[in-house]
Amino acid sequence: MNDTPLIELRDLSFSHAGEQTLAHISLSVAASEFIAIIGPSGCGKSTLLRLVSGLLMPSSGEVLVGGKPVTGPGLDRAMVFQDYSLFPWSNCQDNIVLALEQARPDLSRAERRQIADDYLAMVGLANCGRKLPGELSGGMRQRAAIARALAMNSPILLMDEPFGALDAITRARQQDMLLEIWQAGGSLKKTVLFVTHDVDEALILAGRVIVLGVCPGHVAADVPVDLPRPRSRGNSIASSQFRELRERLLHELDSAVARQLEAAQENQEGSGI
Amino acid sequence: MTRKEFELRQARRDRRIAVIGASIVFASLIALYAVLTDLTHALDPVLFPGLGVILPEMAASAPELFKGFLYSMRLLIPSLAAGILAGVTCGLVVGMHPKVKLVLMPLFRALNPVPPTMLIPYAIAVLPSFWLSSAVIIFLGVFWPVLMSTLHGVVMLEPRWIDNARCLQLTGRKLVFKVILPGAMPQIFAGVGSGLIFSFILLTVAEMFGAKAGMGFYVQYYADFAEYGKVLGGIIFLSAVVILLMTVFDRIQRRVLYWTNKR
Repeated sequence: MNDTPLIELRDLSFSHAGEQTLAHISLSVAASEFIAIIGPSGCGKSTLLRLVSGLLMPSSGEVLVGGKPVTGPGLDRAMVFQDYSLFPWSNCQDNIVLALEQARPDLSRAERRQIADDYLAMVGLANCGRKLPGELSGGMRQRAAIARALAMNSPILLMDEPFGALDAITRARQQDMLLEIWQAGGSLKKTVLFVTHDVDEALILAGRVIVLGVCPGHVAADVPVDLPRPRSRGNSIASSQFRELRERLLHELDSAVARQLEAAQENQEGSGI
Repeated sequence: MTRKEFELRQARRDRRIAVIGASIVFASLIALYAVLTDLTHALDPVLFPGLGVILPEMAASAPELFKGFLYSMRLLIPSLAAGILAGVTCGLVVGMHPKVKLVLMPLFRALNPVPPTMLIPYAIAVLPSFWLSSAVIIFLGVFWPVLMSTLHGVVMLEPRWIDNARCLQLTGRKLVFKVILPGAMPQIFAGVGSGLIFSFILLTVAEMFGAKAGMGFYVQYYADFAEYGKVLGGIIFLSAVVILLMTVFDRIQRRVLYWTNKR
């Protein structure tokens, strides 16, 4: 087993417009790990993901992927946004084909189309290739976005609250689908960084949960989730181990929010004088 | 009934209402005019010739009108196409380079509001042929609104589309044709729409100044002889041409921007 981490964050800090959002974050992610990043809103969890994706550059520290520092976005890291992972003017198939033209230029046109159809079928959208993203429901759109990310064959998947805008039932189904696809990867499982604000979602999916604290964002807790795999939403959520982990994460989040409120109050008092 | 069928049915119903309603309005206006002229002679017969005069005049000068139409189109279409192409190209190039835009924007703001009609006498004096000077005037009338709206469209691109494009490492031609151009298309079409309307105005004004043929020339020429039956006939013909061109434009727009009402 190769023990150099696939993704490594070294003393990462990020400031924007004079305000520090992330401070001194260090984190190692091994290949095939599924990591969830949770934290109260405003803790910089999306910023952290954007730093790994290369859409943002750190103010200090560095992000290493496969041992090399990240200098910008790369096709080795496929991104799934909360919405808008697909361009609204192209149908689903064309969206995936465009991503494939970039990620796998060796393929022929026909092969790209075939792969796009295959992945759409895999996420249960077999007949939706010709549909525009706007003609699909929110859940279907996210499935198409996941199909696109998977088709690119990138070893790393970065997911920024991909199910955040969905209703509870759709969300549960998407989680099961993602688990199924990821677990089917065998020894070639993708490495996933999954940002969410939902504790249950983090525990159902991830093998490790990073809790971010606030003011500025920092790693408040790094919690391994030793629930047995293969998992599904149904067989995890009822176990006592799940409940204990959930209590612990909720506690961590609570104290992060409490600190955020204290800090906000101090700030107000400070400016009041 | 699926949602698609429902939408289709609703669209068909709306179209029926529009066609029937508009026909009634048009017919009543024409009837009103006929009552005021042909039937009661309430209006001055020289300035307001009745339909009994206008329609035969139109029929008689159909070849002349058609020739005028061809002549006008020979001026309008190339100028329009060049204006749109130049406006979109400049808008994309400048819009994608924020520093160039900062430098050029004051110039654009200064030149954009100059009414092209004001330039007509000067253009005729400076440029060698009437066709060229009119073409330049129409070109300018289309170029500015298209340029400004394209610039606006590039500014209005959703940052998330850009993030997405960056994640896919789209660059150069692919970035332009797969992301920036389609994303800016709604604004571009708004600019082309106003440029198109402006181009009709400029076309007829330019033709009234010094053309030897064309739809604007036809109206101007017969107005000089006080043949108002022909003048009104020419105006009606011109309106029909404008309506036709606007319909074609609407069709194209609806097809290209299909995605915007599916969001």
